[in-house]
Amino acid sequence: MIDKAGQAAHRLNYKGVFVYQSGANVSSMQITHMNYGPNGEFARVVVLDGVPREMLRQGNDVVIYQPKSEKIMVDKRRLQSSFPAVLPKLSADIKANYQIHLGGAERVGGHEGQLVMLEPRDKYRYRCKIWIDRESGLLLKMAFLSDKDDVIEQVAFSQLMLVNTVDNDWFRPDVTRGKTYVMAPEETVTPASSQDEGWAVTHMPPGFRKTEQVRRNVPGKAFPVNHLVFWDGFASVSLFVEPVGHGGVLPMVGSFSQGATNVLVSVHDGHQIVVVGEVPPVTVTQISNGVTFRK
Amino acid sequence: MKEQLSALMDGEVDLEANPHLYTALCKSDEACKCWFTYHLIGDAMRGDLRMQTGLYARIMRSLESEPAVLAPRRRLRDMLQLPYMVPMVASAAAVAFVGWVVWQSQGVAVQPEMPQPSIAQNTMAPEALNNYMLAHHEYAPSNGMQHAYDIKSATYAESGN
Repeated sequence: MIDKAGQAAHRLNYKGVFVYQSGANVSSMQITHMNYGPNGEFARVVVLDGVPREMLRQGNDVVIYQPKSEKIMVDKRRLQSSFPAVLPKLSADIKANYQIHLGGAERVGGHEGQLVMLEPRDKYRYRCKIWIDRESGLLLKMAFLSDKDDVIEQVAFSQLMLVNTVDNDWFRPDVTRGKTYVMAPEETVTPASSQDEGWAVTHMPPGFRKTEQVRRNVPGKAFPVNHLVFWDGFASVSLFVEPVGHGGVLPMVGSFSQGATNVLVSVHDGHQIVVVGEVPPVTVTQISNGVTFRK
Repeated sequence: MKEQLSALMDGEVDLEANPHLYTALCKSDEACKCWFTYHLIGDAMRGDLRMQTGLYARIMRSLESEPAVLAPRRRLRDMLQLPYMVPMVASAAAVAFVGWVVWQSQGVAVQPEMPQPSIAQNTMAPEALNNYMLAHHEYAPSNGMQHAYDIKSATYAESGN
């Protein structure tokens, strides 16, 4: 039953509404997902509350439409996965960092769900509960919990229907006529190596390993931003390092928290360091403090 | 007509030099809708919507005086010939991305802490943080990791109960 779960979210055709909650922030989203076999996988997600926003996805290509002033910004991105296609694979990494238990049956969004729990083996990651539809294998609900068992962030289907394939004339944004559509400036990304950098990452929290190191050329920035990704088999953290003091933009320092995502911005030795991840503040802080510069 | 439309979309035909194409675009619901959908999705994915903004705006204006029609069936599928590739990767980042979509246009308040004596503090533009969040979701977990965690028909029970 669970074996097929990881693929169900990609393979099946479904329509539904899911609710995302983090703290006081609650928002509903409508999703339509179709897999046209050799023609690819398509999804459209529309935010139903507040400012109208939507996301169209074809394979890994994602286009996000969001209003900005009088214009609609069109942001094109690559994205590995998005809800409900989020079930973790059983890798050696995930087993090393989490204990995985089967729970009982619970009804979610009108479907019979099987509860699966991921218990972290240390303080550097969050607890997670997932509910999988016993019939289709689709992920019905996912929740991040603090060590005190409080829900930090969750996303759950309130309505879900499996449907037959229909022609894909649904796959287009709801366009506001008369508005101007503007492409957001694109970043260029080139692979980078850990050699020849004037800095290094030390004292990494256990269980995280580097999966990616790239240089991002961001429009409007004189120097490329170094971007490193660390992953524990389930949760991931990004580290961004860039020189400051060039171009007149002064950096700010501080922390930010949104659901399970924690952000820490700091400055060391003329570099701005930004750490972003779905991990507890202690993990983000340790990574940020672990960046050392060669004199 | 379709070939000409296609050539126009590909930038091989100059619209200014071929006013009949523009007239046809405005008169034919199918051509109009086809153009519209092509640009919003196909071109947005290829990233050159910007180049067409002026022309696009004109088409959009002309659309306003046209009755709404459904897009021709199968048209989009035929037009978007991108390879079928769905990597089986997943992570907590995918859930956080949902949060990002909700959050990113609501503005953000960052709590300053640990003032840095050497550098004056400034307010970070919410968009600046946005870009980091988006870049994070874009790369986590990475393509390069795929080989390391391919599914091998495992069950969640094996390390649990």
